[in-house]
Amino acid sequence: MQARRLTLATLLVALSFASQDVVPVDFQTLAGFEWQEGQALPENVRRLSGKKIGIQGFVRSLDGSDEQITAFWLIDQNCDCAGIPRMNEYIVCVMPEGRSFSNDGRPVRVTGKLEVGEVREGDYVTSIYRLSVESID
Amino acid sequence: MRDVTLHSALGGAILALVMPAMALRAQGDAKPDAKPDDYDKRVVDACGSNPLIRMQAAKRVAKGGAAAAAAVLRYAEAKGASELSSELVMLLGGIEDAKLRAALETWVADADFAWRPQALLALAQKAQPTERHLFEAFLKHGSWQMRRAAVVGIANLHQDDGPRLLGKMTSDGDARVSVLAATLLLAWSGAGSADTKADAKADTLPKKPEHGEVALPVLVRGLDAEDAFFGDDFGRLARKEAFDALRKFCGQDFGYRVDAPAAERRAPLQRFQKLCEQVLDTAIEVPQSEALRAFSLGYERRSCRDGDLVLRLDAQGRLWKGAFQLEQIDIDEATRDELRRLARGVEAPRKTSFGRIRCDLTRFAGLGAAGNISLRAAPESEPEAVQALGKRLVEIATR
Repeated sequence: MQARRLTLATLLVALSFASQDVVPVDFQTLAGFEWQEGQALPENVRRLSGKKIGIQGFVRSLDGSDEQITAFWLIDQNCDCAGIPRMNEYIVCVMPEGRSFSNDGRPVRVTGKLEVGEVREGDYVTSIYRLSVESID
Repeated sequence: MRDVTLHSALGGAILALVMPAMALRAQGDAKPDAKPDDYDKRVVDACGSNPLIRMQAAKRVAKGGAAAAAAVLRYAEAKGASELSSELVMLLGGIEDAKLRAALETWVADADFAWRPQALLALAQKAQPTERHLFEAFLKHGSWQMRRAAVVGIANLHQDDGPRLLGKMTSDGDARVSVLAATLLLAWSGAGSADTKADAKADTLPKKPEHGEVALPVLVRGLDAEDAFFGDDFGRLARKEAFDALRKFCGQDFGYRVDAPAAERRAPLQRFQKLCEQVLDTAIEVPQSEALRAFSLGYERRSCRDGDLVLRLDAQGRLWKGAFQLEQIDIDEATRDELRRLARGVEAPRKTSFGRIRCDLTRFAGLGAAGNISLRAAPESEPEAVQALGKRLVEIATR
């Protein structure tokens, strides 16, 4: 009985996630504030946390390779030389387990669940936006 | 609170406007260090393989003063200057150190240095009168990125003829340069400051800014900057910078979205246009942007050494040179067939990028031998067929 209840609950969660509307987001929204380490993020970006979003941008792989990319950062610049994005101008994206793609430098539209909040690697805060990729076009 | 030390108060206003596209602004992200830092380690981090760490470490180095400068120079000496990361080079202008500044000048002058625009931009951050010759010379460079960095340098020198030089650059054929020059010109006298915004909020017109008659029309037209290389939106940077500057100046955004389709941008653009016309008391001409052409093949050489070259063949077989302001190059039927044959010779590659791409790159997009192909390559790493096509295109474009 309990197993059946769990299965049903899992199914309901899966269905609700599958049918969850994709919230279209752009970098103008994500980057529309001055970020300082440790500060509370604005409500309009905090409420995107946990939501399935769709956003367009350019891919920069985390290991410098353009082949078999499994993790990357999505930015709104189309030039490698235009400048360093601010903390709120990129999203760290992770492909689903076992999936990768090649980057040809053209813009992509990424859909997936967004997580908002500071993440630290060693001495450095390295991201405030992360996205579990569901699809990439 | 950003901690970029500025050459002058005006420099602050200018940099604040340039920041959306520049690394300089990113320095503010990092918290000041409370204790002495190991800058050799920071420099290694700033030149490492993880871009997220690189960015943050570079910001720490940029705050480090003489000790950080010495660590950078030690690293460059040991590994070679081109092994510094672009992020770090771009932020080095924040460090006041004569030896480091001299190194930046050397790197800017070195056509083979991997990060020339970044080095010029670093110098531009606290431009010195003795460096004016550099900025002036690079205003005419063939690379739009070099011209952008030079424009920032000219603005930050804040010399008497700055408005004249910036005004001239508002006519640059590349919207990414002309719009930046216009934002800096608008900022010259502090337009877009808290005062003018307050005026706008009080439902009164912003004051007519000095040089506004040159800058504002370019910015309004910049909201409609439109060109793309096979999906790569060349106009986005210009639209974003024009919008940021106008939003500051007007104190409102009129619902403009940088990434909206041209048709949806039109109404907000017209509201900016109307307000600016009222401020200037004169009409601003905004030509209806042409629909983006459909190209069947494209070749882009982006080079901080040799300058940029963008060549595209449209569906009717016409060859176009440049970005934003396209120039048609007359070619005969035989040449057209030759270009198509060379393009069809490009095999679908198993990978989409070739070589270690840094500042300079070439891109090919088109049908190729097996359908739609898009690839990019570091100089000297292009696949043979792309090299052959590029060589022929360059011959045609420069004859």
